[in-house]
Amino acid sequence: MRTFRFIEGFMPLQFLLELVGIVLLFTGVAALLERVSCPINRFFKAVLVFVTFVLYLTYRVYPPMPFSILATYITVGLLAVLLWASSSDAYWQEFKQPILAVVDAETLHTRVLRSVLVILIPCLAGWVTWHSMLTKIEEPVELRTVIPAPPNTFTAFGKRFVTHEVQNPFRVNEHGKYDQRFTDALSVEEGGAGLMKPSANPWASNATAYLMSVREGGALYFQNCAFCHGANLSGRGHENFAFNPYATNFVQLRTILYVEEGHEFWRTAGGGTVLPTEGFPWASVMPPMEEHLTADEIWKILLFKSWFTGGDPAWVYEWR
Amino acid sequence: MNQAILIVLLLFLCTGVASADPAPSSTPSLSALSVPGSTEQPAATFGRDLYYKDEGVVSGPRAPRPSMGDYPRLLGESRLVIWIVAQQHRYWVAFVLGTLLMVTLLEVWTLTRPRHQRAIAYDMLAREWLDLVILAISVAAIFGGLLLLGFLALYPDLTVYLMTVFRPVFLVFGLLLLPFTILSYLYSITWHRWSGGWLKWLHAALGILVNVIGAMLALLGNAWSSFMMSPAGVDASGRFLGNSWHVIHTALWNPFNVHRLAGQLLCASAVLAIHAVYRTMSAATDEEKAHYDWMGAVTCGVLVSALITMPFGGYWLMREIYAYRQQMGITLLGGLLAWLGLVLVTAMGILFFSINYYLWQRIASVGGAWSLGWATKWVFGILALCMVVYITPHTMVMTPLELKNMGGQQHQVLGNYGVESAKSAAVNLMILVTAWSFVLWRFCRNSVPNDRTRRLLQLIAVGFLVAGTNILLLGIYGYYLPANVRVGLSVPMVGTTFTVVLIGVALTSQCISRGHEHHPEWGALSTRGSFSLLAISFLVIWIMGLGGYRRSAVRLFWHVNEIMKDESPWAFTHTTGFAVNMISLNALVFLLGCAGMLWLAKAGLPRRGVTETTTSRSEAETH
Repeated sequence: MRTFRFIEGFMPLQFLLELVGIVLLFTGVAALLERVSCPINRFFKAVLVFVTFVLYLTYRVYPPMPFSILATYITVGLLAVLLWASSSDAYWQEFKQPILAVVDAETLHTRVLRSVLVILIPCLAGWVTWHSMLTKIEEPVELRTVIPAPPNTFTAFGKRFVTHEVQNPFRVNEHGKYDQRFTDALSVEEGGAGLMKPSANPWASNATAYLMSVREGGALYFQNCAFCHGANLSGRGHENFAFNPYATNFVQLRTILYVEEGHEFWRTAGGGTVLPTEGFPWASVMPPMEEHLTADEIWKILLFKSWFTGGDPAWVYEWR
Repeated sequence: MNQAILIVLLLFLCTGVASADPAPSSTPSLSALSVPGSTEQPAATFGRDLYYKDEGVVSGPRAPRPSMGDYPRLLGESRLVIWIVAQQHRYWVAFVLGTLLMVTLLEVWTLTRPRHQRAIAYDMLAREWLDLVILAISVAAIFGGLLLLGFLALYPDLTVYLMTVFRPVFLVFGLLLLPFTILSYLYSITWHRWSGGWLKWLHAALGILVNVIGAMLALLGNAWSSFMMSPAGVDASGRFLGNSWHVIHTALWNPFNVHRLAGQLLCASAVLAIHAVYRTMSAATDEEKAHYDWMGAVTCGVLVSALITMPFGGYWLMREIYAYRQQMGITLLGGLLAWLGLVLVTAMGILFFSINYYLWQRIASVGGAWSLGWATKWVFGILALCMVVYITPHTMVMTPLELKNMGGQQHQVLGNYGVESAKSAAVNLMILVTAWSFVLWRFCRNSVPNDRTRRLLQLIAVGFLVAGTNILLLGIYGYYLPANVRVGLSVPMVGTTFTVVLIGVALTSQCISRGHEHHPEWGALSTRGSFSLLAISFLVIWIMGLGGYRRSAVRLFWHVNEIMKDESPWAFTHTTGFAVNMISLNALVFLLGCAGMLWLAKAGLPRRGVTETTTSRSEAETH
């Protein structure tokens, strides 16, 4: 089933369309059989659709999905199939008919089937129980808190910061004033191809102070951060694969909002050592960068990250 | 009696707090400025409003900083006691206010349409619901009193501080309780006495007045909750700056109000649906069964109408929370409480399934309407796909081995469903499908399907199809936009959904109001349909508890966010499993209370509603 691979950039929609296609296919086949006077009982239709759905999720989707997601999807599928099968009394009667026939066992076939099921079902239950009780040599599932919420205030470099009030001192316009719209206009375009605008070149001879800071931040990033967070900031640095969880992917910014500058500064300066008590234990090997860099250097790195990814936190402030 | 005790208690406390001088500041705040006054008058101290950023005269003490020993330990973990009592109070208040609103709306509707086929039946339905409200008011007041006593006994420092800040608000609250209670009883007992001529209008005006007072009480109560989350009207050390409006009108007050108004309607319709199902299943006659089956359909209609607004109300609330403190937003959506958010959307998905199932059971109960049966697989199929998208988390629960197999934190195919763009499209499509099921049911009840109605249905179907396509395309388009633009896409999505749903339902009603409607199907609903309505009601009540817990728990270790820390031994956040158990316990306690109330109603008001409604229907048909 994995011979035809998902098309890059089209995967989420393709997944849904293929599932719709399966339902269409079954509908067409059922209609055809009905036309030639060979209708399929609703019970078997439901079983066929459900089994196909499970097989699709298990063998078609690649990379394989975690068990938690697989189990959730299967439950949703089962729910939908059962609701459809019982959506009217006529449907429900038709659906129950083969089950009741086996339970009643009035013919030879159904008697044999019932005997087989009476043996098989307890065996299956026993196997599932035995399998679930087996000692497995693997780390347990983590219900990990992905994004630690920052504290309201924090201390870094011996100074106390109010998280939601901190601003990057290098995010400035031509007049040296803090200006998010100005810097946002000079960031790489997020979303599409991630193109650098001609006016936003940090290496240009006439680069503004902001872009000069971006350039310095870039150099610092490659000296200090790229080993884990990757050369293109995608969290795939060469040391990354030794860690669990992996280092943060800054390019994958499809969260509801971008984090505030104070949040980023707190996380970078303190690393894994300052994570909050809520959601403990944490698994972060991020070093406290305040022991390796100055505050200005951290701000410049954050500026570079923001410029590179197009993830300007500016509009968060626009709401206020 | 209960209300009287509560009012006396409130007034006593407020008077006591009012007479107490604000404690002098032990250490002057950095933001406080001393203004030189005359030699006779003590110098006024000014402070800067934490939220509004303006200055005001310090008019209250600093927020206390209790130590662990200052918290009385009378009943084990005090937080759990407050949690249960507050949640029960919230449920009962929501039921009372929501039902009162429905009752008055029905009364006004019948007054403005006296010749309508169902005018009298609706009027009697409203009367029957009002009987339940009168029973519930006492229970709500008892829990309100218990909550106040619980706060005083278990969290005295916090309670006294809040009463100091909210002093005028408490006084108004206490004074409003009395007319609310009296007028509610008056509204109930004059229903029949004031049923003729201008007196009926006077009665409706009384209902509106009760609702206005109820809404004011709700708004003032919400102010307390929103102040604890997003304090305003005080300076950084918690000193009241003399402007009570600022204390009430905090950053999150309005989103709370809107969200809770819809929540009240949901809660009320859920309880009334339970009442309807219980009476349908225990009905002794076909007539009684038909009446309560009809009531169940009406409550389900109200429930769906209120539910449709909830995702948008919730979205607005989340947006405002993010805008107020991003830290809170992260805690709710990506941090400590994110897994409970996942549980919430899963419950919402099941709720949409249940509602559609109920509607299709209704369609099936209409004789000759099952020619539409082919559509069910598409309805549940689309809902399943939308739910798959809706409940897929951004970061999945997995073992480290699964993580390695996936090659990264994000799944290449499914990881994209974990973002707002996909989820917003999914929930809008679920609403659209539900509205479509509703429209179909309404059409099925049309006894004379003619060319005109068929054309109208086709027109509505095209509208829904175009709207669904638009929402889907907007959801896909969102992936190609920066996040700040992408979030704005929810506006055209919501606009599309609301427009199509409103036009679709209005056109359907217009068609049916031309006199084609028949109602022989009442009482023919399958048992599965009745149970699905029960499931809907339970889910609504459970989701309310979960949403309330998330909103409250997001303060983490603060009593009043950033002003007064929770130094009690119970300042930690409970585990997800424990919280879910507590929420379920609260829902069960409330449902048990409802069962008691419904039993009392059935025992005390035997078949009055049915008899009156049936008589009224006969009269209406005769005329």
